[in-house]
Amino acid sequence: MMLKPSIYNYQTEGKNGGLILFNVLQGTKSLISISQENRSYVQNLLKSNEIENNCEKIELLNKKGFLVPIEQDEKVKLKSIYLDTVSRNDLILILLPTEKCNFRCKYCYESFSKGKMKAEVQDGIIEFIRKNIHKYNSLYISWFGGEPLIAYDVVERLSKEIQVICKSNRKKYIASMTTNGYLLTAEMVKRLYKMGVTHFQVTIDGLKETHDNQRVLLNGGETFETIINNLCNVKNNASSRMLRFVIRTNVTKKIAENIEQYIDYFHEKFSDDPRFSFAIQPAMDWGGDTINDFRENLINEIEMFNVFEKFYESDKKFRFAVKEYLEPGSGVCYAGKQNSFAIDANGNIHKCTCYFDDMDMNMVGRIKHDGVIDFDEYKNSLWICDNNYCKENCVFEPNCFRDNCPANRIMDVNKRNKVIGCASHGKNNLDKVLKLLENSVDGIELVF
Amino acid sequence: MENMQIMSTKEKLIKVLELSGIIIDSKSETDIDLRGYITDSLQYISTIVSIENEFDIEFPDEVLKYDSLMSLNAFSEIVDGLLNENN
Repeated sequence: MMLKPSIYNYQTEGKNGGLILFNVLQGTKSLISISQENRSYVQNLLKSNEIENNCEKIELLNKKGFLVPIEQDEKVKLKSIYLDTVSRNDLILILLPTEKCNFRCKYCYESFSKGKMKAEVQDGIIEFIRKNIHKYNSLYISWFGGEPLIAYDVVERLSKEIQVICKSNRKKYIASMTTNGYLLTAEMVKRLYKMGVTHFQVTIDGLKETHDNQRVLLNGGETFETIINNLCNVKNNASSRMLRFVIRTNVTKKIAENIEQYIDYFHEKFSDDPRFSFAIQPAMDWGGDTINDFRENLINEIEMFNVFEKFYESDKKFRFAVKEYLEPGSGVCYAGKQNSFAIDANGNIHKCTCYFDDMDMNMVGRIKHDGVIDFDEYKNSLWICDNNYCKENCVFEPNCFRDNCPANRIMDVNKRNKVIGCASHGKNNLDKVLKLLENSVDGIELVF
Repeated sequence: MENMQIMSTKEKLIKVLELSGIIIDSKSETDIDLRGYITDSLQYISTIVSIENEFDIEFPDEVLKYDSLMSLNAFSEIVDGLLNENN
């Protein structure tokens, strides 16, 4: 059989002069590394127009998707992935039980204008799910805020009702939560697990000094020690192996300057528990006014690159919460999916959680107490991933489908800001992510 | 769930699977490979969490492998074993 290189191959230099190969269409199952001695051989193969499948190495590259049958049009495969990603018959609801928060983080974009979700809104959500769940294969709830745990009673009530509805309709149900971690005790985790919450994201911004500067209580008080103690207790006392915790760090200048201490500290605390992984990213201007007093602390691309380099060079291995973002379609934002909605504490239905107050096109409906929705189908359709927005023939297309931020597309931000090139964080950080994975706990398989 | 307390572990497991959207022929005498019923990771997580919560057990890492589901009978025995450990 004659083969040709896939148009979705990506390569970067690996450790010891080797090569890391990744195929965007295949996702993480394609990830391999090639030794230095075979690097030129593979690179030449991937530049060839025709390759005969006549040896084990070529057959392996074929099986992994780096080489495909010569007659194949790979773009045909994108159709089913696009449909499965954007129109998948799974209902995704991002619920904000409150928009109040017990923290005042220095870069937060939220206005905290709305309080706890009213009882009639909760009733409306329950009735909406009861009346409509039969149309979907599954329900995924993402608890957001504000800080969802300061409205724990709302989380509990809705979770229990939703679980009963899903069971009686024989529907899959799972939930996740984004929380600042201050109230996330082991006991709380166990209670939430009973309610179907298995995945948690907690932000810890560096060590005590930087975290307690960036992520303070409403009264300015410190939070680092409480959160770390909570997570260590969770490690020791919430033993279900299905739980997953992502520790996210919004890196600023001070954190970057002390990244080696960060690596030592967090490796010592959490590397022994495979349920804990890390998401390291730069703190950014996510909007709002608060950032204006904090802007000088934001880091540039070179400083962030140096942070990744430290992880890459370290002999302390971490688990990074990045693999899921390398799968086909994973670069499509939740807001670009047909059946994904964010419901705020007042019962307004949005697509994107970043623009509740200042983007008219974001509010696509309102939920009534009887579960009926005033829905603007036109606005919802505007948000659906537009597989024709940015550059054609991009290697990253199977990941983001050329529309990684529908909010930016709708507001035409890139054109107004004269952004040249790709605005996709996924694509622009692919190199760093692959190198991080090579030096992570699981590593990347060296095939030959 | 009605009458769950008087069911065998296997019968109760079948009921829990049904409530998670996995409908299997409970009258069949042959063993069942559950892997064919797990359509995606959401299904897997949802099913395991439901089983853990319903039986008040926690599966160890070595059980949480896809191939542990290749036999409903063997999986029922694993659940029985965890229940006995709890008692």
